[in-house]
Order: sequence, then C-alpha cells, then structure tokens
Amino acid sequence: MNPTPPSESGSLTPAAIGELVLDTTPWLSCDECFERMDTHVEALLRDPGHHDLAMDRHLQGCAACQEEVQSLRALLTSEGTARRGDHGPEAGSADQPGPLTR
Amino acid sequence: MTERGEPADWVEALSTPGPGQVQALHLLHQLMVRAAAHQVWRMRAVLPNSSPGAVEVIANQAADEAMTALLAKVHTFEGRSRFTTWAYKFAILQAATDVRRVQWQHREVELHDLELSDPPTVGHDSPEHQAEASDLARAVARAMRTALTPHQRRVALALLVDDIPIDVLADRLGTSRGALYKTVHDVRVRLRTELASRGYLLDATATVAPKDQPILSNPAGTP
Ligand SMILES: [Zn+2]
Repeated sequence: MNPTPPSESGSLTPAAIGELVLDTTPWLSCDECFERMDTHVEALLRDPGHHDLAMDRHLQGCAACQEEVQSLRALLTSEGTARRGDHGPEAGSADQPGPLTR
Repeated sequence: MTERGEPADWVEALSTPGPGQVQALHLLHQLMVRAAAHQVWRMRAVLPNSSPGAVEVIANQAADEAMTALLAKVHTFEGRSRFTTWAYKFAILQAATDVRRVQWQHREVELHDLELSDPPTVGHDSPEHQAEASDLARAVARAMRTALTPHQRRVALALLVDDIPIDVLADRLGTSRGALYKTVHDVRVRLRTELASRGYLLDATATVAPKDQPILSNPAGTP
C-alpha cells in the first residue's frame, strides 16, 4: 500500500474529470442510501418519474450503491412484485410510510 | 400466512420461538439465496471463475452473511416497503461486496498522488476542443493540488480515475464505504468551489453531461 507512481490509467481523462467535479449535493451517505433503497425502488416501480434528489445525486456519484439499486429494481421487476395491489404499499410517495406489510 | 406461504407478519414470525420461526427462517433464507444469486449472476463477468458452481458458492455464502446482518436489524423494519424488498437489499449488498472482493483478491491496490508531469489525456479531434479540454484538465489538476489534501487526492484518484471499487479500497485501507464516499463528496465540493473561484462555470447539467463532452467552460479565459 505504499504510494507508487501513477499507472497509465491515472490520467485525467474527460470521463475522470466528469467524475471528479460531479455535484453530489445534497449530501447523502451510503448508509442512508441503503436505508432508503427499498422504498426508493418500490416508488420508482410505481412511478418511473419518481425523484428523490439526494438519492439521485448519490447514485450518480456512487457506483457501488448505483449497482445495488439497479439490481434490486431488476430483481423486483423480474418477479413482478411491484404491481399495485400486491400486498405492498399503495401508490404514493415512497417517503411516506405505506401500510404495514409485516 | 400469505398465499405464497410467507408470514403475514415477518418480524413477529422471525422473533417468536417455535415452528413458525423455523419456517420463517427457512423462507427468509430462500429469499436471501435468490437475491444473492441474482446479484452474483449480474456481476459474473468480473469473476475469475464465473462457472455456475462458482457463482452458487459465492451466492450461498453471501446469503448466509446477509441473513445474519438482517436478523440483527429485523426489529428496525418499519413496514415502509414490502418485507421481501427490505430483505433483498441485504443480500444484494453482501453479494455485490463479495463479488468485488473476489474480483480484486489477487490484485494490488496502489495509492498514488497526482504527478506534476502528468500530461492531460484528451481525446477531442478538433484543435479548438483539444485546447479547451487541455485547459480544463490542467485547471482540474491544479485545483487538486491546491484544494485537496494528499489523502483526498489519493482516494479520489483511486476511486474516480483508477476505478478501484469502493468496498475493495475500504477493505484494504481498513475503513468503510461510507467514510470513503464522504471523502469523495468533500473532494467534489472542494474542486467545484475552487474551479468556480477561478472563473470556470460549472454547467448546471454537469452531473448528467455525456462523459465525452466538456462539462466545464471558462468563457472569461481565467488561467
Ligand atoms: Zn453509496
């Protein structure tokens, strides 16, 4: 783990610059992203136009969380569990508690 | 019980000793294996061995670990989503982290600082765009040297330039994904502030601009 000279990949390409100056405000931590992930994905499946600015910015700036959210969305889509009336929260804001499903 | 044989109240079923708990634990494990397998399969291209058997081993281990993590938090479930959705995210997180770890298990993670001699890498064809991109790259490199600490530069370069997965870097540095993301967030805020102070106008759509296009401009020509 000693500092070493840059590899050939260490140059500031336009893509790298885009990543470096990305606007990730308002701040949202990875832990909070994980907390919201389930309600966020269910909201997106009910309404593809659903927006949560802090989540959206975090997912643009955090490749790991982005992959996990996309994966959860794909899994629910493949299962078809996002249909309205399937035991879950009613359509509406994901930030509001839905009916208890437990 | 629902029509799928799942408990109507997962938290109670998982928390109350008896046959119902045994059945709930069994069903929960099936859910975790399903989600973990889904995740490992999605990322199988990065695995050194992506045979169905290898995928299954990683998925099962991830499911077991995720189930332990979930059970430690089961009383925090508030019913804002379906329980199954809530459960899946534990398995997906664990499986994705495990795949990245396997992907990098035999690779060195090298932290390096920005080299003064690093020439900006630009790929624009026209001389005008070439000059613009070079100017931008120099401005960003300068901002990195003046506005960031050496630690911030190394973390930013590792995660955003060298594309080392955040979990892998966190593991090697003995820190967490959250701590590294906070560092990266601070880096971005500092760079944007520094560039703005030097007259570079950040495009309002910078966060969604195509990566092959300039996302900053310096109409005032400020050096
Ligand atoms: Zn994150």
